[in-house]
Amino acid sequence: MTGTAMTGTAMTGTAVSGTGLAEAAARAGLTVLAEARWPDDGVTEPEQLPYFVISSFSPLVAATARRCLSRWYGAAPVPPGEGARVALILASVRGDVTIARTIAQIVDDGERMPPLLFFQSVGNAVLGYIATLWGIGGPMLCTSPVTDPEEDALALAASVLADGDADTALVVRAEPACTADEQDQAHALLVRLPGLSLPRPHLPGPRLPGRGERPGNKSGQARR
Amino acid sequence: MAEPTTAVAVTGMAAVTAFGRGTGALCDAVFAGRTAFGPVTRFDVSGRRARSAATLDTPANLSEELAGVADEACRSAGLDAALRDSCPVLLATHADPALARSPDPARAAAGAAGAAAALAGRCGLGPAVRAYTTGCVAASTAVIDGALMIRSGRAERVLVAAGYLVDPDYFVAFDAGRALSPSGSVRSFSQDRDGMLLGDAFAAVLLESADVAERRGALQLGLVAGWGRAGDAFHVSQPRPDGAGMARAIGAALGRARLPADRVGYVNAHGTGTAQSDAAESAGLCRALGGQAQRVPVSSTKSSHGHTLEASALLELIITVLALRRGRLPVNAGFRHRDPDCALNLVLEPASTDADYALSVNAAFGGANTALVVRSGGHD
Repeated sequence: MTGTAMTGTAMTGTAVSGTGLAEAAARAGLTVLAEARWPDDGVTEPEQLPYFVISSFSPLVAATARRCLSRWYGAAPVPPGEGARVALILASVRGDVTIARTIAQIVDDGERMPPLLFFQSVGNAVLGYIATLWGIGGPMLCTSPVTDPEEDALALAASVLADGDADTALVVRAEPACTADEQDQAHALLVRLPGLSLPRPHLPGPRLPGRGERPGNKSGQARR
Repeated sequence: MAEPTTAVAVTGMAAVTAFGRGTGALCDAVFAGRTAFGPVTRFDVSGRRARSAATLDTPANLSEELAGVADEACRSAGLDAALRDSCPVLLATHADPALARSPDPARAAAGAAGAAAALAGRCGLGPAVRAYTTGCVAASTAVIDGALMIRSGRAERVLVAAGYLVDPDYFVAFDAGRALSPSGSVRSFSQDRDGMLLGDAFAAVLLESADVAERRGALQLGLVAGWGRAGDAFHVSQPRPDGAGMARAIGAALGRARLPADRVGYVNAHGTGTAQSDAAESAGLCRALGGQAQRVPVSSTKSSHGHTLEASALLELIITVLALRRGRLPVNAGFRHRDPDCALNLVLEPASTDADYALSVNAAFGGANTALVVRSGGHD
């Protein structure tokens, strides 16, 4: 932890680091089970989510989470019994700026507020979507880190796991574009404390390779 | 579950609510069952279903009020400048609505983290670590992480602050979602409940290693003896009707405190006053506490001070600490009719207590649940 105080976050300081999350996981002493990032694989538009409108932020978080979870667990849901001990951590300095701006604009213009913006105003709604789809019932946290977002998100994951309410944590670091020359970015890691032995889920059918996996590595485990 | 190494004490507290400045004004009101709701005059609410909230009488500024409660909590804990300088800060709040209106992209991108950093800098506190934006469990989540920092030896003390100022953006969004009470009353757990009302609140709590607090002779107002957090895995915004997620959070909190359910002497409920949430919470309490759920006194103080969003769990922790300390039970205000789906022993009149332990529970969108076990630090 550093003592850096700041009065605002520079645009460059919020960029999602290409390698920062995995390096931070290593420094936090965590084992990385799977990894995903967005944009990736030539796909730039995450699929729409039911209930979520206007903003690309929640679809971005959900798509990155889905890729990461599917690389370890295969198709949803997480195996029964294991899902209740998976934590969800969303770290985003900015949060969903599009929804905030949209709500502000509607209020300032005196227009009718779409009811769906009610729950989209809170960041953990999309974590609820992921949790419902994947059967995940562990601790749920949304943060806006002050200094090094990657470092903070993984240190927080290590603390949550050591506390014992979860065995596994999905950490999603996501930042929405704020200007025309930026693009939405997200990076997700599925992590555990080292030494925890849980059976590797059976993955039916083809699956996307995780970062750090070598083709033909039947264990499919990155950085164990 | 990690083995505890040191107890986590509360050595400083401060609050500003619609009842006024100070924890005394807040507790006097909730122990008497008074409410703070009135017509919203801060912004135009014509054309809205709901028109009431619990707001301060005087103009308020988010950053100034946050600094005020942080200063007061540090002062009441007896922290000097050197101890402040090494005290990490966790803040529960959402990004200031002014950021969404800023033409400067860099300012708009500051997020809630910018408020945490500004608070630490303004108050001469140690590093701002992060802001919590997990809605109604933001502050309780911050308290749990602060307690973990202390128990793991990463910090001797942590300041947890939280703030919400009733604003048109959230008011209109919540009104559009039909979450706010059109009748202008919060009737938590009552059969005729018709929604929540928003409220202003700024709160700060200084968490400290009980060993360190004892060495420096600081008064321990109470102890955060246990905590738990669990998710519903049910819906983006609706609570799980059987309360299983909340029950797991409560069970984990009791487990960490090594406390049997029958030792819980008071429950400060989430109790928003919405139909589904109160029923689900009642189911969760019954599932976690068994027969004790029908015996233990329960109240939602949101029925007095309103739903203060990210600040609500910290405000309710302060009330719970002071309830044990002063031997008074907060009243579940606004109640009129029993609901068979909320079969709880509600506190409907001012009452005293000799309880040593209490629970404070909260729930949020996405199905996030938290529970805190509070142990009395002695009586005033």
